[in-house]
Amino acid sequence: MSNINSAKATLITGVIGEDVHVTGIRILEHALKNSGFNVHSLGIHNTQEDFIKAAVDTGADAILISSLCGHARLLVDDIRQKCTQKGLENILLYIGGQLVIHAEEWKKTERTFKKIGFNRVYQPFILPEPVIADLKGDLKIE
Amino acid sequence: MDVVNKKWTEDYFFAERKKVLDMWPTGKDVDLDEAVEYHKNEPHSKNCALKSLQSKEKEITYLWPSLGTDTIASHKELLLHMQKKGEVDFLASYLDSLTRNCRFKEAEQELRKAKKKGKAMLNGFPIVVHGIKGCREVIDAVDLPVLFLGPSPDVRLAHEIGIAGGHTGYSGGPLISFWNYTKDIPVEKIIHNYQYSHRLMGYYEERGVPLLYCVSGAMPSISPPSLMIVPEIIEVLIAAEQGVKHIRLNAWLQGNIAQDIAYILTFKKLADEYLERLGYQDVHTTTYSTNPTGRYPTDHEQVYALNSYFTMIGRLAAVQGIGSRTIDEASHIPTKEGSAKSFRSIKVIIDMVQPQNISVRDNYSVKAEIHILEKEVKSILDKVIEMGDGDIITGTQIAIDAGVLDQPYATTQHVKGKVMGVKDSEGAARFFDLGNLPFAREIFDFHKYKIANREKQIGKKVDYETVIKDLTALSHGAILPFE
Repeated sequence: MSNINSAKATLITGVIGEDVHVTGIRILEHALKNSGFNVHSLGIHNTQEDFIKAAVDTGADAILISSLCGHARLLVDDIRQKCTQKGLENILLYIGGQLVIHAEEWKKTERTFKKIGFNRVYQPFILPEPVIADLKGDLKIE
Repeated sequence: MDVVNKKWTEDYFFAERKKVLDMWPTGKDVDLDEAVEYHKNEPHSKNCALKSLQSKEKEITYLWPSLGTDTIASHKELLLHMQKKGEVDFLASYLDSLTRNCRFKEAEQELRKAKKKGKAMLNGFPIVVHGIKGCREVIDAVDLPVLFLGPSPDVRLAHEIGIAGGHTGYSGGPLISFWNYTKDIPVEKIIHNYQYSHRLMGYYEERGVPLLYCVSGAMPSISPPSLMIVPEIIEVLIAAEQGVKHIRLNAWLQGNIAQDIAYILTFKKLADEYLERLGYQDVHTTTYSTNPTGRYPTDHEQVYALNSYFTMIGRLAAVQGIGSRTIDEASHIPTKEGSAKSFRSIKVIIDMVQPQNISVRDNYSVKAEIHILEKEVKSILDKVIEMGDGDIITGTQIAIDAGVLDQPYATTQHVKGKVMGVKDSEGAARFFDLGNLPFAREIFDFHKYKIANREKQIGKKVDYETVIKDLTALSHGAILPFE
């Protein structure tokens, strides 16, 4: 595979909550690394505090959260405020996966998470390419 | 932590043992002399190791279900039901996940709730909480050999109680537990815990009680079989050093017939070769195959078909044991009826194929797979041994850091995670990314060629979308995704 040359933006990736579903985030991490991003992976079983701490420690540009347990809203409730409190006013927040337990209209789910402060919200089974394109756009890379 | 592949001294083992038995009150009931006597008085037909050897001599395939529920009464009922209605040859106690994480207090609380409510609260049989008496109550009630199973970073106390409680085998291992069941525990710590379990088995062996250890290596996720065989042989060598004498080689089938048969045959050949090369002369190995992990159909008819298919492949390679998933496990914890129906159906395949002496070794496709697979396994394994300056455990630690030992989709944070698989045009698992694997040009070219055929088939480059579709193909009942 070709390594696309992109600026060394630092990303925090991981799964939030108790579930052990790891396949989705591992594929995304693999693709992000191959696109030249500096990926700081937290793996499974993280809290929002874990993500924020890692972002502060590494001076990250974006946090990418995967969640499959359906309880995402509770787990990321005030992540935007917490980021601001820790001096991460401008950090990008992305989330994707199975975000709600019951089937609801996608627009509604997206609105809920945008209101929490996420810049991008992705449906289940999203492929890496559009996420990478969004990151490059939002971070003004290339 | 300095962990090397060297047999523990009796002093070291017994010093560790004190700490292990103190982990939960039932530990103090283990009396090794009494347990050895108990096993010696059991019939040979109830010993996992001896019955496995028998299947090898008779050239037949036995059925091994995975079973486990929480209370003594319900677990006994499940095992008796399988013995009567499932047409299986072995039984099992699958450990619940709390026990596998040494959370004995919570397991005890859940067990209490289960007894009170009369319904299952745990996803397996909590061996440690039940203690020796509870285990023997189950084992004394059945006529078949029983093993306990479940990968775990620390299964030491479950080994003490499980074996003294009458189980004669265990399935699981340090490396599968490391990649697929932990996030942050260093591999050497998990290996050290397993050295304890293996030394305990060795202790029984030295006193005339044969016990079976089943290696598991790594879970497949469209993984070329070398990604499983290498960690499995490492598990074999770690166990053999501590005195384990009977080892079952678990092959995780993935659906391409030639590749799966090559996996079983190559694994057996190379496990024996490395055992001999490293000086373990008296270890008996037997073969076993089972369905892949990962998403499965919820439709029972499709699962029956898949189970039969994977049983057929195992029997064509003349394995001594076959395991299978159950018709209902994609929806919930399998019921006793679901388990019995699943095994009764695959028994038909065994009975149909077993008497036919069909040779698959000389099949051209199988031979081609064996040729490349042997090279892959030897390249990685020899590199690991070299990196450890002859010590397989030191080598394992260094090789993981270097990405020479690697896995896709691991739960642990301590691997590179560079390797990734994709299917070729015939559904065999190939390397989409070879990461840092120490392969010669020939192997690179082989995978590239096979992937190029897939690209011709689908009319585009394989990419992450292909990988994701391949990962779920089986859940639609097909080896390749429908376009």
